[in-house]
Amino acid sequence: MPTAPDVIERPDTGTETTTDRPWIVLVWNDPINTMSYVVLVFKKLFGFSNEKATELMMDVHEKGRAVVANDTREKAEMHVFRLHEHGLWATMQQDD
Amino acid sequence: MARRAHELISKTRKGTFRVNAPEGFLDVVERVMGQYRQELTKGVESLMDPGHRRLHPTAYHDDPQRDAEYHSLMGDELLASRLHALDEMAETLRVDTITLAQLTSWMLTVNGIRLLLGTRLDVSEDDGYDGPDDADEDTRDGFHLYWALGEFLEHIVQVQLED
Repeated sequence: MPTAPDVIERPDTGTETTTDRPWIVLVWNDPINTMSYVVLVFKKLFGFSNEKATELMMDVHEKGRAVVANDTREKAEMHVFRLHEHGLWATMQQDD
Repeated sequence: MARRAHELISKTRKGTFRVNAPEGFLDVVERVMGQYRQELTKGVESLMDPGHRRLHPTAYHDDPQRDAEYHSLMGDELLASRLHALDEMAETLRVDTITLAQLTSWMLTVNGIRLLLGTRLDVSEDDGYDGPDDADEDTRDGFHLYWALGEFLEHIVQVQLED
């Protein structure tokens, strides 16, 4: 029976595959959802502290959007679904 | 600590939530919930409606093909989730106390109604209680309902943020 090598060397293809890049979840500003509601949703869905949730909410409000999660595509889709379920305007894209 | 008279929802010592909203207000909410249910169950005819699109927003804003796949996979689940929350709120609308899970259903439903209504009214962050200066009577009524639901939602949110 052949034995496995101690170290497997990954061939250097010289290119980075797009699947290697993590996905980010963005929440966008909208005129309907209230600030306190957004803070509560961030706390409930992501377990953020009040301070962190408020900071992200202010980013959404003042900068127009905030990154609230960074994950695999599958998990990012679940985050987006939960945010949509709560009425927030969320999208996902691969990190630059 | 005594309950503030204006609290529409308050937390009990058992960790449940007491509904203090006036019956007349709950009558209005119940009527609007019925309209919301009709809107949610309209099906394909609602796809061009901006309010419905706000309830089912884009997930991949830079990739239409993936976005279509996402909505084909998750669209029904999102609708089922909204209907479940609506059913749970309808079943508990007239009870004295509700659980946190039931309060969450109330929150999701009231917020969903505001999203639909607010999108159709084309609200902006600058709009006041009566809406734009040139608003007609129907539009003003819509804005009054929008703000009343907003205040109700704020009570539902604040009682949870107090923890």
